[in-house]
Amino acid sequence: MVVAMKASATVLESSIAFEPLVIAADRCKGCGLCVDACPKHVLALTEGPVNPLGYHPVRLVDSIGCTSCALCARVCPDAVFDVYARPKGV
Amino acid sequence: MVAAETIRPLEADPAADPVARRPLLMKGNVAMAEAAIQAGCDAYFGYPITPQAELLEWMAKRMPELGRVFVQAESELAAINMALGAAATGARVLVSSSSPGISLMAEGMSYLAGSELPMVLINVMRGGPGLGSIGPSQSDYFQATKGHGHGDYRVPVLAPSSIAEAVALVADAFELAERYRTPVMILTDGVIGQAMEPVSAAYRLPERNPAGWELTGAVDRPPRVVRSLHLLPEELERHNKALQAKFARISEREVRWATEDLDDADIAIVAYGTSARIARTAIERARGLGMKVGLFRPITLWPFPSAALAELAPRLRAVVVVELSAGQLVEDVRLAIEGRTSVFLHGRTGGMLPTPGEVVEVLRRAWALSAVRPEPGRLGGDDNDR
Amino acid sequence: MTAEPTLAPPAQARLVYGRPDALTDRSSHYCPGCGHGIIHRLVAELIDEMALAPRTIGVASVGCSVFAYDYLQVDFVESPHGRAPAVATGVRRVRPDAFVFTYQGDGDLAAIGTAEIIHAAARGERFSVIFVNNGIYGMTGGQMAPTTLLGQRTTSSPLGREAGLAGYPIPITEMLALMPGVTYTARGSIADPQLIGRTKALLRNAFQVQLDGGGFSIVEVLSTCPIGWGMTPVAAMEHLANDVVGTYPLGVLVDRRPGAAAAKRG
Repeated sequence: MVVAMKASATVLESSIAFEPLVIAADRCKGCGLCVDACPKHVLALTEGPVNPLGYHPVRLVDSIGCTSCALCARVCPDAVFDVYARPKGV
Repeated sequence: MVAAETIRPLEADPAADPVARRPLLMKGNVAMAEAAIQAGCDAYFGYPITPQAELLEWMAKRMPELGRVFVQAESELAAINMALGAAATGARVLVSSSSPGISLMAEGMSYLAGSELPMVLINVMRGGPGLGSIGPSQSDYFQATKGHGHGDYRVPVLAPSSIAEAVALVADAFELAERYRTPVMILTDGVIGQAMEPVSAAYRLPERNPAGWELTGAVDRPPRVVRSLHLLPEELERHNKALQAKFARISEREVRWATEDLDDADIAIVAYGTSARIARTAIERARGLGMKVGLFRPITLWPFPSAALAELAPRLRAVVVVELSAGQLVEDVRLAIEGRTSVFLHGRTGGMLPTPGEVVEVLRRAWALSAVRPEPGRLGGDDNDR
Repeated sequence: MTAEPTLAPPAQARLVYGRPDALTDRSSHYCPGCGHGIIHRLVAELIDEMALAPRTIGVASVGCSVFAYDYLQVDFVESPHGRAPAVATGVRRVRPDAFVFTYQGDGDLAAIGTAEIIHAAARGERFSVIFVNNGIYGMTGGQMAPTTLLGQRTTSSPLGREAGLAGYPIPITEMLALMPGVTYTARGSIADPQLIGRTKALLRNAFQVQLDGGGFSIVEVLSTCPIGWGMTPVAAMEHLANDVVGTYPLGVLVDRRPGAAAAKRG
């Protein structure tokens, strides 16, 4: 769930704008290992739409809850995750 | 067995040194091994099997001396695969074996051909099938010329009939292999492997020309893959067509054969390797008895000199194939001649060699039968004749 | 290759984990949740971290991972089924400066290739073997492997593997550990992120053995085949963690590196 960014800069905007995960959804095969591995339970497979491979790709359902621990990236067989650390104050 | 010390060091200039040019008495297996070394062979992989163990032993001694690679593999199956790996990096590779071991290498040869990897394989043929015997034979002709392993491919096959010729063909084989990116086979037999003959140091070192497919580590270039798997039918068909085009080019340019005494001949003996040498003596005797006989000696068994033989056939009353098998070369001869003249076979198996006298008898019978009945037929002699 | 976060924060975000450069940018043919994907990724991470790509010549084998050369950005030679250790021997002997590894499954290494792996190990050949053991033949449709567990159902052991008919799972890595030419032998698992991390460390040790001029090194990685096992990827990982390790215990089996603890020298 991507949150829209407001034009004017301030702390409020930054705290909801940061996405710690960049997910290559088109390569995801919906295996669910990341959903199971995530200690914060912030990942889920999308329901409904499938990607070009025919799978339900994973998405980050709670950006704020993600701690950038990267366990998802470490279990992913298709290396779909790039994980970024949340900058201070964001 | 020639002592290593009598072989000139590679840095010496053979032209300048009369000692280097003096013929040495060498066993065939050793001469072929040294020829490979002098031709720049980087790596040898093999497994002991009679009658070519001396080739492996010579390599075991010489290659480490020269800082090159020698491995006695755990089997012929492993040896041909080590060769595949080394060849994939662009190294000049030799493998040798004898008939049962060559059977184990059939899989590897198919992969080498499909992956288009150059290397040289020497077969010192022995009696078969199965464990057979350790005597000489020519019963792997089908195996060599029809590809050994699975799939649509051919392999150039060179057949020397003397040790000196074997030495020359080793260098030619490496050159052919690299020019066309193909495994090349040298087909010899236990006589050539085990006999000792004078060999002049007429070795040759073919040039190296890296072509851009070799696996050397992807430095400043995209990675390369050496493979034979092409799962998409369209892709594999394309690959096979390219291979066939290569084989057509080889067939056009690399056919070799030799002829003796054929200008006025009524009968030609077709034979290769050791059979050709026996035939030569038989021809001398036959000529002495008034028969006009000559020799057609294929040197490349693939590509087979079909056109030359087809051209010769109409002026002959008979062709007699002499081979150390139950009849393999004779099929290619019959195909080439296409019924234009009678074809007879005298084959010996089991390690038995025909004597020149025996071959003269065969020529007599062929003469008589071909006068009576121009179509191909039985020579009517012993079981070895057809 | 990594991408920027979709919304740039005020300060540049630090990349904690990015897709390895040594992995090609394409979707793999492996099934969802297949262990090969994880193991390829670990190999790619190590190739990046140890700067090995320019000198690597990999040897691909036959099995589901036959297309490893499509996913790892290094020179590769494809070998016939089981022959990878012989092919790797040929590569290594003529290219002393290359980094050479084989990537083999359980059929390739422990069935048809048994002679080749044992003799490469016996010769102490200086290359690293990544042995992926998922106890089944995935590529050909899920038949029994030499490492299939007793009682495990496969398409060629439909009633479950029975020792009397089909023998016992083969402890090939334990067998290899006996040989003096073998410098490092270890077994890891990919059942959870922590075990994945440990397996990466084992692989790193094996690669380093080669770089340090040591002998033969092999890491067996217990892996999953969700489709072949008839389980979801998550259930397959649980089976791996709970059941497979009973037959194939984890750990370093032998460590003959100079300076290794005496107990592990075997």
